[in-house]
Amino acid sequence: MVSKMLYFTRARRDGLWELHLYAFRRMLPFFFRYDYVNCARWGTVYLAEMANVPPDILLEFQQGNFVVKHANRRFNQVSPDQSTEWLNATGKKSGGLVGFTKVASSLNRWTLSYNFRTLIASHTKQMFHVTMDDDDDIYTHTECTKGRRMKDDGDEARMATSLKQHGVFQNKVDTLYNMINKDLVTVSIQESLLGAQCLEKNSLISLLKNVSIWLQIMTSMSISKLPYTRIKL
Amino acid sequence: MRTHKLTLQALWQLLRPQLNTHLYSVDVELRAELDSLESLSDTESISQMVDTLTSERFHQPILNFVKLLKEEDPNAEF
Repeated sequence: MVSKMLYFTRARRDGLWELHLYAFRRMLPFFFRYDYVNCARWGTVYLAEMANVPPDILLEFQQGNFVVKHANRRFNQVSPDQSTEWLNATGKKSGGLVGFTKVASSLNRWTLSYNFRTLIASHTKQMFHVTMDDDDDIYTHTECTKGRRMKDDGDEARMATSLKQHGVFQNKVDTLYNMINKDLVTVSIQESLLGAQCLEKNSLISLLKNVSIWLQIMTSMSISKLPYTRIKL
Repeated sequence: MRTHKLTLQALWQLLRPQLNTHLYSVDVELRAELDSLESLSDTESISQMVDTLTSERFHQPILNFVKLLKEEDPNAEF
């Protein structure tokens, strides 16, 4: 489960579209199994829609244009919705709209002109050779600095020592057990935990097929001829 | 996220001796190649190491190792 989350994070940070879809597809059965209903149903629709994306948009996604970044560095791309949260935050702190205006028309002017003001600021910085773009150097990433790597290595070594003290991968037992208090789980709990991915695979596959067929029908017919229908998932 | 990443790395630290033993029994040359690359830290050796670890030659033994681990211990499977 952890590896899937790490794949998903890496896919976004590096802009890897195929890895993004692969990781999301592998996470879906767990949404079904652990009753994350909204993630389960809309995640299924998302996957089916991404399988039917027009070729020119697919090309853009495969080139990494499904995530955005602020500075020209490595491993720093984020989803567009996360970046708009950052934009909202710039408006809500000092220097933005806080303490400046509550009038709706002024607020709209501030928001709608934000991109132009950013462009002017960027050109002004370039004129004075003051730029946010660093050289493409891996050592500029916060997790690659010497101090951070030493801290991570130390923490990892301490964790490995602690896991070794608790006998992880040493005590061969037939049942899942809690490594701290050595409690054994019941057979049903063990089956549920170990088979979480497989148990929901069939329902996920059938739902994906239905949604995919529905999407293909929708795209092949003209939208104006269709009555409004509400699809229940 | 950092905790999960470090825990995963710590778990693989514990598994490395078992993986080494498995590789010695399956493909001694591959193990020797990885041993020689491990001691070097220049950029070319790192990219060679990455190429070796992502090759099919390493992929199959590691899949077999994980399969053996799962069969022996459900905690390892979890």
